[in-house]
Amino acid sequence: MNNKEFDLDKELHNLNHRYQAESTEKPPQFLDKNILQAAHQAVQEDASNVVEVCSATDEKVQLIKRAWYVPMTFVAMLVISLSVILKLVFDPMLTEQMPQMDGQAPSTIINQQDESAVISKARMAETSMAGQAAEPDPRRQMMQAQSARIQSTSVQQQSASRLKRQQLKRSSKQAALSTDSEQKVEEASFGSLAEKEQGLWTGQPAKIASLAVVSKPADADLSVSAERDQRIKALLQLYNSGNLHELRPALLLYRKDYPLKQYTNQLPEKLHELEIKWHSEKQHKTQ
Amino acid sequence: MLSYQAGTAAAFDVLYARHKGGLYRYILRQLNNRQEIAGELFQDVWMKLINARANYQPTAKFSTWLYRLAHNHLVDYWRSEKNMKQQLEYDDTLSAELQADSISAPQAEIHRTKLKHQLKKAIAALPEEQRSAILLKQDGALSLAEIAQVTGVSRETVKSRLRYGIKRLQGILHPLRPLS
Repeated sequence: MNNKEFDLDKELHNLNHRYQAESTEKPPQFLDKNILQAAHQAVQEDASNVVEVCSATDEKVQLIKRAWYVPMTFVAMLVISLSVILKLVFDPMLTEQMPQMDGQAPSTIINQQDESAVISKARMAETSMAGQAAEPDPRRQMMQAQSARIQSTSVQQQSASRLKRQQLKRSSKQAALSTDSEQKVEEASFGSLAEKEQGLWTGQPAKIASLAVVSKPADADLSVSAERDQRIKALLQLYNSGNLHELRPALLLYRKDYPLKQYTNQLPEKLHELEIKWHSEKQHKTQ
Repeated sequence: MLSYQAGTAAAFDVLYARHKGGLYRYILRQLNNRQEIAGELFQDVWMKLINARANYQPTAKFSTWLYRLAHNHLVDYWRSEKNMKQQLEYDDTLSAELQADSISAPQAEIHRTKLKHQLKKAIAALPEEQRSAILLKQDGALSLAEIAQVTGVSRETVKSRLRYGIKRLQGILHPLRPLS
């Protein structure tokens, strides 16, 4: 403490003595009474508020105690719903029942069934026709051809619709392949009609229909080359058996499905020579 | 104060008895001895304290907190324009005492009374900042740091205000009777 502060303290001390001696004023008594009363009331209000809060909380606790079954019900509902959801998500049995997205699709199974039905009908038609004369009635042949054609087209349309429905799930390549093959089968049916008009109808419509149906991929997994090989085998069988009348339309049908520009030199040499020969004959006739 | 905050009403009685005199005189001197207004403001300050009891935190002395409430309340009162004029008018009702005393009292008594009023008048004549500093020191018994906290200025400012205030008092009271 420096001198200035010491002097200040001294002066304040002297002032204090005199001031305290002369300052004797006190607040009036009514003010004392009012202030003390207000202070006591405030404390009492606090106490009563605390009691109310406690009683309110006590009431709530008692309410919860009485109505314990309400929260228990909520908990039970929650548990049940969770268990159902978890079961749906993780139960393997349930997932197996769901339709398969790839591989062995049910539509292929349906297609197989359709094909087998058509083939069986075709075989029945063959056996019935085998019992007839060497040169059957052309009118009956026409009717049989028409019925076989109608059957084949209906089967093809049904399978096509099923395939289109599943095109959303499969790859674009398989879908394009299936639609293309369907169109070619339909064209083959019309092609057989054209052949009939040209006088090349041999009277074996069922076989051609069966060939057309067989040409359609039975299994989604069959590649284009495998299907083509099957058809080539069928053509070779006809050639070896000497059945040129059936071979010609079948060969035309094959060429429509597999154009020369894309599939050059795919046929065996003998079949290819026949194809050239028939093509030149046709051109000569048109000229 | 903490006991009162906890709910003990008797604790307030003790607090009030301890500080009521000094607070009342502080307010009275600040208002130039106007007793009616001083009483109103005195009651207002204690009611403020009662209402603020829940928020009280012992970060400083209780007296510092109490006088800060009082100082702020006085400042609010002075800020209203209609009260500005009253600030300047010193309540000269005390002079009536002098007149009454002079009739019957002995000369020494009269002289003592004169001196008492002289000091109060001299304090009332001080500027507001100096007066506040001196009264907080005398009535509130606050330290320089606590006065600085109440008035919102630095400790050095409080010191200079006290020094100038005492000098002025000496100038006013001399040569009738020095402070010592």
